[in-house]
Amino acid sequence: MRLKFRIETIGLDGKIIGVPVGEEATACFGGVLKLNDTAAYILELLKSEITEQEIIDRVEKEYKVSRDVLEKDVKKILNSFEERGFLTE
Amino acid sequence: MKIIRKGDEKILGILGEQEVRDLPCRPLRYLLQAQCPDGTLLYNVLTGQLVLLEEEEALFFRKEAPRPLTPAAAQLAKAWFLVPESYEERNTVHVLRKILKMVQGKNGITGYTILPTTGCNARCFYCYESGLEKVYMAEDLAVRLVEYMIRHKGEGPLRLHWFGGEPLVGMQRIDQICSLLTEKGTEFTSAMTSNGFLFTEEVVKKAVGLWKLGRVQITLDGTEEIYNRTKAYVCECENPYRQVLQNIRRLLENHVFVTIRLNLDLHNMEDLRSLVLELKDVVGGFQNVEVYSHVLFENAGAAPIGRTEETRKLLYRKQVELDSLIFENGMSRHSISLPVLKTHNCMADTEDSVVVYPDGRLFKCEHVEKGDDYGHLDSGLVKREITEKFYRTAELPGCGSCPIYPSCILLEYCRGITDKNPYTCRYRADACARSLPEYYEKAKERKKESKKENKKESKKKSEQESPFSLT
Repeated sequence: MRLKFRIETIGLDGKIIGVPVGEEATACFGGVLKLNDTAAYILELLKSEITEQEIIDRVEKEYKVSRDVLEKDVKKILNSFEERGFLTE
Repeated sequence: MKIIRKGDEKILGILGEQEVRDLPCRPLRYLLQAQCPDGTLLYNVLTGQLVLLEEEEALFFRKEAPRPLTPAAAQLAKAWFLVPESYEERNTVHVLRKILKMVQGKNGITGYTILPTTGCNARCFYCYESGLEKVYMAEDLAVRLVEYMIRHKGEGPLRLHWFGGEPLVGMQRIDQICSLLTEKGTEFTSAMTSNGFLFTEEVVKKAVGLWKLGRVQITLDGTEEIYNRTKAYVCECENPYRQVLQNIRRLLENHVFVTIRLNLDLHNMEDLRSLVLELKDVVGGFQNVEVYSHVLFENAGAAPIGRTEETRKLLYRKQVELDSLIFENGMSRHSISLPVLKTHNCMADTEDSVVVYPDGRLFKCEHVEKGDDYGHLDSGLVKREITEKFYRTAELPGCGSCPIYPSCILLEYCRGITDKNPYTCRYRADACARSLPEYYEKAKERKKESKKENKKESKKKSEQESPFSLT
């Protein structure tokens, strides 16, 4: 899977804002995303083709969290991206 | 704290509520304050929110915010009126602009400033176009312009702004372009910057119908004698001043919104006061008119004006006085729009607007300068280095402490020719603050009106629903 369109991340007052860019992005989602560190990291990974398993592995290396919690979190974040139409197979 | 105007949804959507921490707080730098009989009005230029404060709350902005924050102060902090001492609001403005521009995306070209001609029937001494070669748009070029417009069109109607020279001197091309767009089913609206001299009955009818003219800006330089001398029309008309006033009235009667700009300088600063009073008799009863003053540019025209600090100060004072007079006579519309965070300055730093010269050359700015054409209708964009230079911004030393900074963008290109000096900047900020009580009164009136309407509606509804009639 990967992102269907470009989503730029910008830091603002310690928060991370995701901004979908381009015509397709605007048509699909006309707003901004407020991201936590993990979601921003996953978004970065999704800029190139990657599997869910690979994402979990990469996040595990980056953040020291138990695998169970991490798998749930990654799935939740991927689902929310999927629901918004950000992902393509 | 009572909310009078909600903040901008997009901006607050990005910022969210400020997280309140136990840190020493100070007022955000982008606040405008004014007193009214009900309390203190506080406007946040960053978020666009206007609130009415109780005396206790107002003290946070005159003295210092309590620490730890009281519930009232915390509420103001959540809404970005109070921020931590170390907060860097200028950075927030820059990031917000970047995000909003990205969200807006690209939408073809929807704004056209068209110069049907550089020719003009007036000879104002301060005209920055003086010395420009007189060029008239050719018929075949107007056809190609319409084709270009349709080819590059984005969503929504085209916004045409007729400019010149005096656009009405080239009105045949306006007729032609508007007819062609209508034939091709392309939606558009028009606005114009004109001296108003040629708006006869017949032209106004055509402007409203064929050109779909919604707004016109007309400049007046003084009462009869000063106006006629300044404009120095090339015509046989005995009294252009009277004619233009009559034409303004005609436009208003035909529901065109007219903005009357009073060009202010040393030679006419006293006379403009008399003009405002005369204008009250001519346009006073209309809702579709606004009058505002503007100090003449320093570095433009046949005889560029170089002002001393003293003169700038004097003109600032005169402009404030004139503004009050306009306001007292009910011809100011400042309060309708409060300053908000801007993502661009004008047509020059947006990608959806172009300026079309009568010979088909494309420019970014309506103040056309030799060598600043970036392309041609026939070839499109060819000199990116020129368009790029209009996107570069600059700042003046006073920008850091300016309360209306989010609503103001200075382009690097304009730095040398801009009218911005400490006094005009102060004038703008003060004028915005002065407009708050009027905005508040209007908001109160609107609320009363809508309450009345709601009452009427519910009474009507209950009468309809009730099996018993009270009448």
